[in-house]
Amino acid sequence: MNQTPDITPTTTTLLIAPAAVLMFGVFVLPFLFLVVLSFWSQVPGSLSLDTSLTLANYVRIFTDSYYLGGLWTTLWLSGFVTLICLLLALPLARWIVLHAGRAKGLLIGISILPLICGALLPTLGLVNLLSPLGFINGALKSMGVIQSSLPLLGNITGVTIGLVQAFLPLMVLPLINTIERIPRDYEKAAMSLGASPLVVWRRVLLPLMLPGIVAGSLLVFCAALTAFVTPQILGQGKVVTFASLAYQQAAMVLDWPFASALGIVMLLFLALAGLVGALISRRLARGS
Amino acid sequence: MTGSPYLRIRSIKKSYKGAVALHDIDLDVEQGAFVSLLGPSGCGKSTLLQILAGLLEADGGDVQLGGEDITNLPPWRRNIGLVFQNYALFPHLSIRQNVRFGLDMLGMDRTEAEKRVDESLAMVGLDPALSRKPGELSGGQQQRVAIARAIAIRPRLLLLDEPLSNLDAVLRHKVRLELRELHDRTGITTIMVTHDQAEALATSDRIAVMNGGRILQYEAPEALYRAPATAFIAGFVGSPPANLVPLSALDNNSWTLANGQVWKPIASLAPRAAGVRAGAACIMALRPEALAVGVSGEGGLPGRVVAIEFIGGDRLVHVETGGTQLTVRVSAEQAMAGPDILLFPPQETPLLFDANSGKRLKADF
Ligand SMILES: Nc1ncnc2c1ncn2[C@@H]1O[C@H](COP(=O)(O)OP(=O)(O)OP(=O)(O)O)[C@@H](O)[C@H]1O
Ligand SMILES: [Mg+2]
Repeated sequence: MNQTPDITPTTTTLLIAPAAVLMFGVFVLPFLFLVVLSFWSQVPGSLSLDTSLTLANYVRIFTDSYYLGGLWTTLWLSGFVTLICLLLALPLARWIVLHAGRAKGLLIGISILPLICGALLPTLGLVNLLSPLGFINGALKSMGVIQSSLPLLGNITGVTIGLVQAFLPLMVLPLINTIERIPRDYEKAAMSLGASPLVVWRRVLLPLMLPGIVAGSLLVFCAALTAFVTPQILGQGKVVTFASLAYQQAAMVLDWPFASALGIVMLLFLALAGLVGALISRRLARGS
Repeated sequence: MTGSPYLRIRSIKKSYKGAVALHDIDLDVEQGAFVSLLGPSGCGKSTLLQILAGLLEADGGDVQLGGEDITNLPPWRRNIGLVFQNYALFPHLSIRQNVRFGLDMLGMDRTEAEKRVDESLAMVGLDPALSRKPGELSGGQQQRVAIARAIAIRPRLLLLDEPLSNLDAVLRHKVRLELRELHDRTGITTIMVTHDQAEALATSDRIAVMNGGRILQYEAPEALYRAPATAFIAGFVGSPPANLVPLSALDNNSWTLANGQVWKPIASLAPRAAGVRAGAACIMALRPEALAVGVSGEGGLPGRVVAIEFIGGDRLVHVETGGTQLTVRVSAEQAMAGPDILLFPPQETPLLFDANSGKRLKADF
């Protein structure tokens, strides 16, 4: 009589089994291996591993000023990039929602372009723009604004520009999503109650955009924290970030246990950021 | 009242990308009046209200409030309360915070503001201890909060955009009376937008009937009902509204109906009495409640009963007459003989309109 097949716990298990096996094989196992590896150590002067458990790698990260400095740079750089993205994305997203009209799809397409064409191409393009003989310096010089080239590559400025360029869409998209769901009547009601545009932003729009702000900030922060290609190319090796440290250890020094420990620390910070984001979202959800 | 009116609207125009939403609107509202903007969907009511609130810029014309030209004043300096159709309560603020919002904008101190919040909530019949978020309230309660929020700032003008349209029929009836009571208690000059003529008739001191971006007539409810200026208004006001019968003058004494049938009415309803020449196309408005039903007599309009609706106390009889379907309201006790009947319009001056312009003919009484 009943045409729909029975969905029993057994069939459900069978259905998700392939995905579960795949996840276990390519994600959980390597991850567990990474965790274990981070508590091993490298025998000095050789490639063999000492498998006795030790906290030495972690102690080194949090005591050696070089690694601590890299960690600190990465954290504040990510925070700074998140802030810049937020400041740029708020007016941009609102403008796209309110005024773009038919061009909206196109604009959203353009804004996610950096996401879908990978980190390398746009970054190499930026090198052309930012280098001492590049477009920006050339243009400024020919206009007589500057005499000698501004240093835009191989420093924090360049890396920041590159990261903002790369991750702005991660902020714009969630913001567009929330702003689209805020009826314009709220602003109008606020204005009729005596709120000037600035107050409308502070007391009505920003609080209502908070879910989007939290989501976007979390995405940008995590992306910037783990970014490798962009800081590497635009920093020209002179800006030490956590991802580049892990890469050095894994691919050049070949100290895999230490590289693993760096990776685990990075994951812990990601988890922490995610936790903070989740807590804020939960409070917001409960509040409204 | 003498001198210039409290609210004075002159030649307000507005187009959206070439489509005209408002043609030269003139409107005067006396201080303390309750005025309705009545019209079908899309006639420009909300547009006019938004212009008054300063949320939309008019293409031309000016608005004066209390003798002050507010045409170019930004909305946050106007002190005009606005209640939206969907209430637009801030979802991230509690009920009390919503009502307090405008008071904070005024920079009112805490204790006084809290007192004003209590007052305003009590005035709309809500428990001031309500500590919930707007999302947890029923539609009727949200609407009250929206009104409390708007009146808390003691606005110079209260604008209501279809405040009752999201309520169910019973509540709508109750709340419209409360709105009027609230107005009488506060004395705040109020303009309410509605497309429900019964709502406008029941609450307003004056009604501005709008259509196609124009104000067709601006009158007290009784005058609007008794002497509609156009066929459109006659066919819009009243429950149910007047029947519009297209007819043309055959000679001084008889009319030709839509299907060619000839009707010879009593003298006061004849073309001669209305000053209509033979051949002129007209529309006669016949009020459902003013038509008498009979089977024989002088000057009756012959018709055939198509359907009868019982509406409690009264019945609505749908009658096919000379190619037009009319509605007649009779008391439920009245016996209805056979399908073929005669309809007798009232003896006084008819509501007769020019078929082309829709304007009232011989409205000289
Ligand atoms: N933002 C807009 N852009 C373009 N046209 C608009 C806009 N707002 C309103 N209109 C048009 O202007 C006319 C008047 O609109 P308005 O909202 O004032 O009507 P209304 O009388 O309030 O109708 P309703 O009873 O449906 O609310 C309509 O024809 C509408 O299509
Ligand atoms: Mg409207």
